[in-house]
Amino acid sequence: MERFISENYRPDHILCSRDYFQWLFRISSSADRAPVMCAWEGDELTAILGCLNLTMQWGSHHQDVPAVGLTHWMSSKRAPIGVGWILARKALSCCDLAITLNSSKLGSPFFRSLGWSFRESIPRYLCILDRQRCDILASSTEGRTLDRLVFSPPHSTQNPELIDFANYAPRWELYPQMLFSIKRSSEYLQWRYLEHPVFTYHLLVSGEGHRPAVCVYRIEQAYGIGEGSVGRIVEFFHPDDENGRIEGSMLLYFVLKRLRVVGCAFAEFYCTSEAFGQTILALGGGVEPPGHYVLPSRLTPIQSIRHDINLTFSLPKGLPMPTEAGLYVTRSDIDGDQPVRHMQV
Amino acid sequence: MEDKIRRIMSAVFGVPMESIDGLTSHQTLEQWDSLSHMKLVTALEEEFGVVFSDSEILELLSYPLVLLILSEKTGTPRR
Amino acid sequence: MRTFESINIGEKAELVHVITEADLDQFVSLTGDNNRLHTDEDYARNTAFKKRVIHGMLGASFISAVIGTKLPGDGALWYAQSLDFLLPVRIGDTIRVVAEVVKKVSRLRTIELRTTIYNQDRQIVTSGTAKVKVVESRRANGERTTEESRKVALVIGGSGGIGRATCIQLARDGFAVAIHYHRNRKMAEETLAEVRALGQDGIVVSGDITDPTQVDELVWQAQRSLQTISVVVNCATARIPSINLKNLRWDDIQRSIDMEVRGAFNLQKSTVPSMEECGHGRLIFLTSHAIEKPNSEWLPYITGKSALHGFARSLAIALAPKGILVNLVSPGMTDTDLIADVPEKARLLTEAQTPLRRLARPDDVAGAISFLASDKSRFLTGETIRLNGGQVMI
Repeated sequence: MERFISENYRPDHILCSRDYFQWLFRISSSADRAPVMCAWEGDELTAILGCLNLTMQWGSHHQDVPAVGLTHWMSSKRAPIGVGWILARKALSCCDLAITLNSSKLGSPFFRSLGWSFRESIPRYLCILDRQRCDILASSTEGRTLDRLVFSPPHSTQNPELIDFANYAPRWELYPQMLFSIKRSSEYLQWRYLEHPVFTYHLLVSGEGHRPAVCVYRIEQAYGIGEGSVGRIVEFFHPDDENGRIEGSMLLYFVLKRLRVVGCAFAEFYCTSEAFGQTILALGGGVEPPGHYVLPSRLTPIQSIRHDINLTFSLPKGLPMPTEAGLYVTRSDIDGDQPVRHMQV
Repeated sequence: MEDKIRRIMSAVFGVPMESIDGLTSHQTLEQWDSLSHMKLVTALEEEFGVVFSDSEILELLSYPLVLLILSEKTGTPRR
Repeated sequence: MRTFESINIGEKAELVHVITEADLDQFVSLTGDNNRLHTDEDYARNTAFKKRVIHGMLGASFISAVIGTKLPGDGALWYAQSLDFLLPVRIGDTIRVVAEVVKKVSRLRTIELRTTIYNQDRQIVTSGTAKVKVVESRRANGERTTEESRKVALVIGGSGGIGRATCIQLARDGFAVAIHYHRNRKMAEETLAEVRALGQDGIVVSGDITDPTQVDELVWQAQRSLQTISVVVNCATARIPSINLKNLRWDDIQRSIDMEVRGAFNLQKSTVPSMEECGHGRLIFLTSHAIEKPNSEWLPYITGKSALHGFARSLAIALAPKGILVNLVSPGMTDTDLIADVPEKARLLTEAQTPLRRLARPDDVAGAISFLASDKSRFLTGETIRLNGGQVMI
């Protein structure tokens, strides 16, 4: 597997890290199998397709829906034509619901041909914490846009009451904004953020155990034209009522303050949910306008062009189409928010 | 059957029907890539009411092979 | 330069020379033999000869010219000569010096020549026997070229698709061809006709190559007719049985190994000794693309060909010091009668998966064999030329 990825992509691709591979596919170090579909020609690996087992909420908080998250759909140059499609077909035969993030120029047309639902880009919310640093990072034409994205906390904002993650036990019917999402159970958050082998995520929970506000972020060091750090918020949600919004706002404000204190130039949050994005807006941030490049999203090294995160999911048989208000997908879903490279090559 | 197949291939690859012949294959037709191959497979399945096996998907590499495999699968003579 | 093998018993060479006064004077000057019988006319008048006679060795020295320049010519090591001077030779006589091969000793690579000198009256003036070793020059790196000796090829399975194309190609390349067949004599005869139409010698031979006696016999017949075989090509093949592993027996595998390896073993056993004497030779075997891309149904065939592959490479190392090169040609699916049983789908798939978009043809394979049989491949041994239109690239 390592050789396949190394030869067909790059030797420092993160999937060449055994630790990362085992973490992503949730297998033990002694496991000899992984949920990765492989196509072989003789003893030569020609194509792979990762299949993450996901538990989704899909139109109901009371019934979990199994789904497959498709990741790392890769073919070698010598792969016979049609083999990628065979892998995808097999993956789709496992579950009604399949979802993938960041599909490539080759992958997206495939899924669209199958009639899957496709979103060109997940909205990106930005909040500028250090205007000067952002001037260097931003496109030179975006001065006015940056003015509109500066962190402007309200005069009086309390600090949130943080609670122990051990008490985290949300009642999901209080979160209609997440009616169509990967279920953010404690197991999921534990695996996704607290056990991550590469990144250091900060998971903050505030409010009450059965109706918490949650924010997860990490700090990424950018380098290239301009340097500095950026706060990547990868989860933010709260109950959908007045108290929930207030709790969420306090928590987000707290996080943004922290990020500013540690020197982050800006914070970003990719999220389909306008309900949660509104909170950033209320704190001075805004949405990166469609088609515009305002601040870099790829930071190691900094790339001064816009990179959208697309979202594709199959039309589930017998399951409802997701509503805009209820769809909650963030940058860290499936295999998103992935380290760029494996440092040990 | 030949005409049906050539019509489908013409639509999938965006080439004139007359140009589909015994030499048409994924090696000779630039437009025949993974995506169009998948489109061809699904279009043929829909038109002829068949489901291709994995090995058949990998064997549908040229017009003569499409004709032969479909003919065997449907029990229809090629012409 | 003549090679030992090219010299035949009964072959003759001669030269003619008119003896002059100058010849005599030079000989006296060179040797110091100024015996008055040769140099003093007055003296000679008073002897039984009445006139001066030339030195016997002067006449005999022209035997040296015949041996050294004509038979065998360059490379002749003249190591023994008996002489009987039967009649005097005088100035003004025309001598005809004839050397005739009367014996060949292969083991020592020597020939024996009857040497006879006639005068203008067809009288034998000198007779004797010469013994000559044929010493052949080698190139700086110890090779001999096929161009330096007569080109003779033995093509096993010469009546089949690839074999026939090989026979014709080698004939075009200037080889005399021994065409072997196992069953199809008619096709072998037709191939022979084509070889001859190309101006080359040929012969049809037959025999079971798994039987060493039969191989010795067919090789002897070929060499007797066409002389030493310098190239052996084994194109023999049988229909490839498709056997499910469940139904496979050891006999099926043994049969394939016999066909491929025992046949090759017998052929090299029978032909290598004479190649060794020449200091050069080519053994060319056919394997198969199926070794690189195996399938389960052809297990016996693939086992046999794989064994042949190993055998040939090992043999290449053993024979390299003797100037004998061993190489293999590995064709993909080739358009011959042998694929008549192959389903159309398999043939179409092979074509579709081949970068060059067609099956191999017999003359493609013959082309590769032609290269391996030629001097152009003189630094290739233990190698496999893969003819699969790009399907497998190593």
